[in-house]
Amino acid sequence: MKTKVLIVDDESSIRKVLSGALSDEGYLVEVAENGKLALEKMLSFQPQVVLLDIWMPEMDGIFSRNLFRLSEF
Amino acid sequence: MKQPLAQVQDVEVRKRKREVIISVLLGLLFLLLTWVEYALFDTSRELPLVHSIFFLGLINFNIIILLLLMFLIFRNWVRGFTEREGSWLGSSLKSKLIAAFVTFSLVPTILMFLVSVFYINNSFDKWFNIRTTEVLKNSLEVTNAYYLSAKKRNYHYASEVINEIHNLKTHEQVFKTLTALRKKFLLDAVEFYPVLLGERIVSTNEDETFFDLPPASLEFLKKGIDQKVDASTIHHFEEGNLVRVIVPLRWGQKDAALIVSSYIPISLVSRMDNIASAYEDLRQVDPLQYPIKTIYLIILVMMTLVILVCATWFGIHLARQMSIPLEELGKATFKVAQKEYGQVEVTSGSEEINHLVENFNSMVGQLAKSEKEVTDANKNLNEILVRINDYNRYINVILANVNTGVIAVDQNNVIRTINRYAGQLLDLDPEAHVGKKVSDVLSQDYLVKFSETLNGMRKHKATMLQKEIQINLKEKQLPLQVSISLLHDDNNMDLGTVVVFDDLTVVQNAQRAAAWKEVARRIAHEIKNPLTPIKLSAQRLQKKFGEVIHDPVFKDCTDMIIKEADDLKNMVNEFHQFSRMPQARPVMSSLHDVIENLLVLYQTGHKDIKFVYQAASDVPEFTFDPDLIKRALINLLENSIASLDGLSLPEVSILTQYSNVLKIVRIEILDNGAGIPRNMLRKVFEPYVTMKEQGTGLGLAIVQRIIEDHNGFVRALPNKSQGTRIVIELPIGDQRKYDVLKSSSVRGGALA
Repeated sequence: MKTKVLIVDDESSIRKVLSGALSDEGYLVEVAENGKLALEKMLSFQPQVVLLDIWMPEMDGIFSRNLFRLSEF
Repeated sequence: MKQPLAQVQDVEVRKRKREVIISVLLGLLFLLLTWVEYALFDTSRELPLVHSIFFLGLINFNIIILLLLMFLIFRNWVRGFTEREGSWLGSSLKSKLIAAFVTFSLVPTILMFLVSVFYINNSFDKWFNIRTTEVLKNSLEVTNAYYLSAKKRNYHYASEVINEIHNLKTHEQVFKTLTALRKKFLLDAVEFYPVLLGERIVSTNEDETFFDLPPASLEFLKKGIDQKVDASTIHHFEEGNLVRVIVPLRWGQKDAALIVSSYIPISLVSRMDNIASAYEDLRQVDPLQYPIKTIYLIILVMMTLVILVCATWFGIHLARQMSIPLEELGKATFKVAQKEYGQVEVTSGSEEINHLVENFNSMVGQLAKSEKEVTDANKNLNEILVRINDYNRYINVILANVNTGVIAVDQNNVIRTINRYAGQLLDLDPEAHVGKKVSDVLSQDYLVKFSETLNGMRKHKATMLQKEIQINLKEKQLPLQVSISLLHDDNNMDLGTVVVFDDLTVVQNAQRAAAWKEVARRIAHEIKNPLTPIKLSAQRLQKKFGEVIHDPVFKDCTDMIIKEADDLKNMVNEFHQFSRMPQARPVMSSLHDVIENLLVLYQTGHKDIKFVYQAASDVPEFTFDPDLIKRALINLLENSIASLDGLSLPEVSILTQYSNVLKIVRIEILDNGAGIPRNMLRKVFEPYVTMKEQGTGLGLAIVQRIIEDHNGFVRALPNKSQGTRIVIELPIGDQRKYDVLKSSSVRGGALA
């Protein structure tokens, strides 16, 4: 079973490059462009690894991380 | 009130005592004088006692009055003299008044006296010389006539008697006839002398009062008997005179004589004699010694003296009555002149003077009152002045210590105030410019601008104008926030202009820094973000196709992309660094060590460049952030080295100075490189201003940030011959005030 990685970044270029590179390496990659979407993906996708950009609009990384912790993932 | 009363009583008692003593002395003097005169002058003893007492009394009175007069005059003269020494007001008036009174009484009295003496003398002389003499002469004639008639009668009766007796023979017959005839003719005595030296036959009056008739003298008888002539004689007796006539006759054969006498009693005769002798006396005695006249004269003298004494005393009294209040007033006036407001306590007999004194007292009272008011007002005024003074000093202290330039110009365009900070900012001495005209101080350009601004304000009736301007000073441009206020008083009169200005350098720098920081942050973010995917993409390409594609172009290009991305990232990081410069952490360090270490490093790295270090030995250790200062110096040295390219003798010097007075460490970095164009000198410290092709324009900006964080200043100046001279000034004292200012302006700007 492939390791699931969730990439959260508001920059689409970063999302693309990272998901491409990680896919090349054999990871199952999902992306989200903000914290709110990331939270949805966390629930639906259930990743083992989350790459979270700290600087983001809507809900930034720190906030999202705290939220994730709160949700007992 | 008790004490003055007691004093008055005391004075009264003393006065009584004095009066008693004077009376006793006068009495003694009177007695003494009387005794002396009685003893000295015989004449007085000749006079009857009553007369002499009267006479002497008068003289004594005169003497006493004269003494009294002399005493009065002398005492007042002495007093006037001594008082004149004190020269009080009124003393000369007093002497003048006394002199006037004495003169006015003396002159007419003496005139009157002289006239009276003359008149008395004259009338006495006239009286006694002419009238009395005549009367006396007449009386004498009457007396003589009386005697003559008595003689004639005697002669007549004698011839009658002779006719009867010349025939008689016997003595008895003769005696009988004589007696009968004597009785018949009422004769006093009839004598018959028959012979010259023989017995006489006498028949005398039997009246008891009649005395024994003495015989006629021989001489008288000889005239009758021997010479046979009629003769007469007058016998003086105590009781009266006897008029005797002798008539010769022939009795028998012999010559005989008959004497008939008639008696004139004393009452008549002696008075006649008195008249005669008085007449004689009158002619011979000195009229002055005549007692009546003398007494008259003495009385006259006495009256004169009494008048004189009265006049003098009255004069003195009047003068004192006038002059004593005047003196008191004079003294009081003198005291008033010395600001001593006393009341005058004098009562005079004169109503006007009392009134004057009363008015004077009320005037002095008012004077004292107004003086007090003036003093109070002065005190108040002084207090107000002191307060104004304090207020002025306070304002001046504020003006001197406020960190805002203030220049006041009055309505005549004369500079009135330049405060300390204005002097500092504009680099001029306030003392040297205050009082000068604006036109003498400002250059033509600025003067035109200044007056245009003022005129514009006046035209638009603006009282205040705020403006940011740049002014050119000797070595720098100064941005100023200027506010110009036209001053007017309540009546809209022009009072001049106040120019208030702030140094905008710090604010401007802070604003610039803040702006650039924001730019840097944004650029960093915007550039950095795509850089990561670019670099990642290039690396992914290399990883995925590196082994497949062997064309070197692929590897070169991807390497280039990765390298440039890294460079870009570095640059962005530098921006980032600038925008997020770490705060200075000052610690006690040695500036000397920092510079020396740095120079050792640079000298090894750049062997072709000559590094010179002129260290001042007295630079103390002080608190600064050695890392940041080192970085600033590195930036500056890098700039200098970059400007030295292509020079045959490149040289960089660092020198330090320390001012103990200003507590400032000065670091200068000099190079003989390309230098900075003059118009760029000020701008080189702004971010992104660079003269290097590949410069970020942040090096000197970072230097300025660091130096400003140390409360210092950095300036770029042209070096003497060529190159650049960077001057850093670092205060080493406690500058917390500056810190506060900086953190509120610069950091505030940074956060905005």
